[in-house]
Amino acid sequence: MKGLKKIALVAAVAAAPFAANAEMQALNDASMGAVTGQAGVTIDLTANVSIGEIAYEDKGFLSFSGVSLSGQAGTDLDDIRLTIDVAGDGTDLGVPAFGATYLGGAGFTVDPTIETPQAITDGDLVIALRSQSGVPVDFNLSIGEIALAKSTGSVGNLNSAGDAGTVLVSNLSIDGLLGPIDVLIHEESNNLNINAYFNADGNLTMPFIGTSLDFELHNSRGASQVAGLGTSFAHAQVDVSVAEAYDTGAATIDALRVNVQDFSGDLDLLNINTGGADNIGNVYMTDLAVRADMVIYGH
Amino acid sequence: MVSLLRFGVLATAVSGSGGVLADLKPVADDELSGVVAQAGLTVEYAGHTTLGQFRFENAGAYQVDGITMGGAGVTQAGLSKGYGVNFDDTKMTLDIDSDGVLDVVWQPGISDKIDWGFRADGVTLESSDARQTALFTHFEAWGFLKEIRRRVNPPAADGSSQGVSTYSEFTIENLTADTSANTVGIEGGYVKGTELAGFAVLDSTFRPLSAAQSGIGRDTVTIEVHNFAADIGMSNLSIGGVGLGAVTLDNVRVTDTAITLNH
Repeated sequence: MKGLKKIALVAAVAAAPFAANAEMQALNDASMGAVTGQAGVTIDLTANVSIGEIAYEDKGFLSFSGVSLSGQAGTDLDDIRLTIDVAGDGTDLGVPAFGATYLGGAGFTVDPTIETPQAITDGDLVIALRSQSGVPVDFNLSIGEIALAKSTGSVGNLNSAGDAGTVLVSNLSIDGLLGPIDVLIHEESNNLNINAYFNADGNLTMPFIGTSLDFELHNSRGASQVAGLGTSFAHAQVDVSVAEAYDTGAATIDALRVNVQDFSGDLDLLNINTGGADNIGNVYMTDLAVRADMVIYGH
Repeated sequence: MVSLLRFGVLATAVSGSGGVLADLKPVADDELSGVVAQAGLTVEYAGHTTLGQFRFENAGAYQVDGITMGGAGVTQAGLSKGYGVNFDDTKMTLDIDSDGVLDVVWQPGISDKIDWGFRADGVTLESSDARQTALFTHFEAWGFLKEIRRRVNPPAADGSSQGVSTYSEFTIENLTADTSANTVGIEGGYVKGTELAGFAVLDSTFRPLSAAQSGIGRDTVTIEVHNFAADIGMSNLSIGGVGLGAVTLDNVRVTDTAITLNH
């Protein structure tokens, strides 16, 4: 009944302004001046998300069917705490430490130079995802099929049992853990920065090339590691902004710019099978690091 | 802040959807039928990748250490010619046509070709009892890429996959590996073409075969080389530090060849 008590409390708080309406008094300038440095919002989240189909339409379709996001082993995605702040002088934030600093404080070995530092200034929106318990949040992301379909296919039925043609991926299942994820939307510089630590352990089948494999994304080997608490995290930091007045060669447009400031970790491709009685082997990639700048637009 | 304001409007619209639910109207079929021929996606890409170690293990192992992939400037030879370390000036377009065929095309943006580079500290073979043989040390290669077209083919009439076809025009301008007592050394290696303005051509399809199709009684995969045309050579090849001299293969052509994995 703990959850229901919370709902009841929220309902009571929401209804309270109406009951207290008659007692409202105007704030004078002096009392208004004292209202600074508000506390922000904390959201403790438990969720279980399933989506029957996500379809991207070009002329034909690219569909993602049987999508679900939950905790591992059929549990809810839970233990998540989101803090949301519009920064003032930087002392009013819901979490005191971000990214590598947070992980270092939690006992992880981490090289902070894999991050591009982000200054938080007055007016920035700061969203931080942490666990409530202090141990990493477990998740499962599953996608039944990723398929191509003709333009005549029926949206909502773009799977291999329905109108899909080529199935690119089937039975994709990813179990993983989430480390700290920080989202910063700068008030002045027109960009959004996502700094995330996570790992993934899954498998998939690619019917269109007759290949299936298991994969593990982590960071427990090599010279660069992010390891602690019996696990390790890959790192991704992405800056999303607008390339204003971008010349595509055909036109000058505002386009989406995605700057991958760092994607690093160790990636293992295991039990690679291309038919036949035996797997062809395993691939181990250690200290993979990608830097990329992309401008994305329609044509 | 224009665009972030747009994000804000979008977020407001999304969060407000519950409140305005009563105002939603269904889209009529005739209106939906006008929503066709979307534009596809263009991605202009610049970047480079480093990889401390690539290791493929079967019974033994094949291992490449100290990899950098990017523009020609990741190699000494490419850098000395003024190329940068990023694989850049690239334009990738992604389109799904009305038959559900996915085309992904990499082409140069402003210039007429993309420079690329690859370097590795060493390539090693390892036996199942961990005995190692250094195959190459200080392996470096750079060249140009004119075009890569990848097409995910539509399924055959019986529903079986027809795989993915790749057409590429490229060169390897210079490939080197140190000459030493224990390794294979290469100086002045190249892969170019006498046709298509000097670019080598590779046109191939990778596809699965069912047990009935494969002729080996089980599911497998095949690589069909429709056309490979190139001039291949090197100014000096050495094995174990002993120079064997220059190698020149002009007008190499492979057509209508299928390589089927049998394991």
